[in-house]
Amino acid sequence: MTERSASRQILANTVVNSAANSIAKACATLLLAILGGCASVSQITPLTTLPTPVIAPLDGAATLLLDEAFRTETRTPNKSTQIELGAAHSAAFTTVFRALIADLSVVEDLPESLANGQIMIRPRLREVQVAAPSETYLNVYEVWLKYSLQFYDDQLQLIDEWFMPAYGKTPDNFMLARSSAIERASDTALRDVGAKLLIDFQRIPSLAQWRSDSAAALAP
Amino acid sequence: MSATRSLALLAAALWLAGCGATTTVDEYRSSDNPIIISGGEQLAILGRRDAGHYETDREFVDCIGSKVASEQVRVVAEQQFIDAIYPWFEPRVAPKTLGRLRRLLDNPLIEQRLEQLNLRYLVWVDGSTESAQPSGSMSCAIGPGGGGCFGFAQWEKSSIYEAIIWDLHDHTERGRVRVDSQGTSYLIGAVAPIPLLTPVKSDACAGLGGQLRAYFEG
Repeated sequence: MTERSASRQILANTVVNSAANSIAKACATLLLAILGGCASVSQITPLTTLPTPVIAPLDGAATLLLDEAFRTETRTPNKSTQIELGAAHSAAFTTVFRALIADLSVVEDLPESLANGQIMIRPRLREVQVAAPSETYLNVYEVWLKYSLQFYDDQLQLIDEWFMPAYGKTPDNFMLARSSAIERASDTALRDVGAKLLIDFQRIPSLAQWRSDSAAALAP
Repeated sequence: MSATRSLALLAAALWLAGCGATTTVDEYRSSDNPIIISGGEQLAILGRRDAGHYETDREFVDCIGSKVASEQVRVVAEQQFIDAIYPWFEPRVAPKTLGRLRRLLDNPLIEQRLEQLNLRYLVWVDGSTESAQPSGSMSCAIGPGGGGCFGFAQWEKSSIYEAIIWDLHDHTERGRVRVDSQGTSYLIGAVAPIPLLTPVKSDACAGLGGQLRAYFEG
């Protein structure tokens, strides 16, 4: 082999190796993209705004504490789903309690004291569960939310904690992306939170004293 | 040539058969008195959503609303009504019986809101569209020279819905309409997959909507 043909051979090998490297890199990138896609996390932010409830407010004064943890609540019910509930559930609880209690103040930090006869309500998100059709063999996406309401008296002593589950689902999963289906189910679950609270709040036994005291204070 | 002709004839026959759904509409009126809807009064058509394994889909309810609405009959949009009376018609608390409705209307705030909406009738729609497991087989393949699907599949579809009319003035049930629409859909793989879909749901909507419209227009 002459020196010239040897250098041509080396050049050809270099070109082949370079092309093979490029293909290998492209394949690796594609594989990473596919794997990355498979492992993606759906970021879901429910956008529901509750309508103004048709309900007569209870007499009495209360403070609703929506602390930073509650206002920025983000949960990861499974490895592929992250739900940012903070803004939506803060707005929902504010709407509901404004309709439920005649004299309500909403605060973001724990107050130092409360007025005589006032109660403080502190909602907390306890659990979020999500189920997809692939897990349940049903044709719907489902979301369960579990909240608790902590009630404090005017001395800021805990009176009771009341647990409240809520449920939402999509009508079906036809033509729905996973993230928008879970978003819809979360919106429905938040409406259910509002409905449950609006119906059941007046029946919470540990608040009977506060309700009767508030009514008596307004009696002529 | 003859094989192509036979295939074309088969496709045409299936097309014609596939396009037809069998729809039965049954109605029951609780009295001979006509259903009166006077000027300005409205009705709301709502889907039942409290069952665990299905819920009446909103598109079907909207479809019935569009069939019933006319100059004489004004229909409030479902979501607008549910929002206007929140939370009393959410799936958790919506009245399932006339007794519950009467108790609900004892609440002066709710009665006042219904008066503001000028709502005279509520129509509850309950039901779903189900597809049976497909039979037959279809296989698709793709290669460097092209691709295609070969085979044949068919499946049964049925839409069963019932509408119940409640009169909000008398707190009574005024009638029921039930629709049952069934048909078979086909998928023929002749290189390209050719779907021949039976419109059972739209037939059910047309049947139920038309009957309800006849109720309200007398």
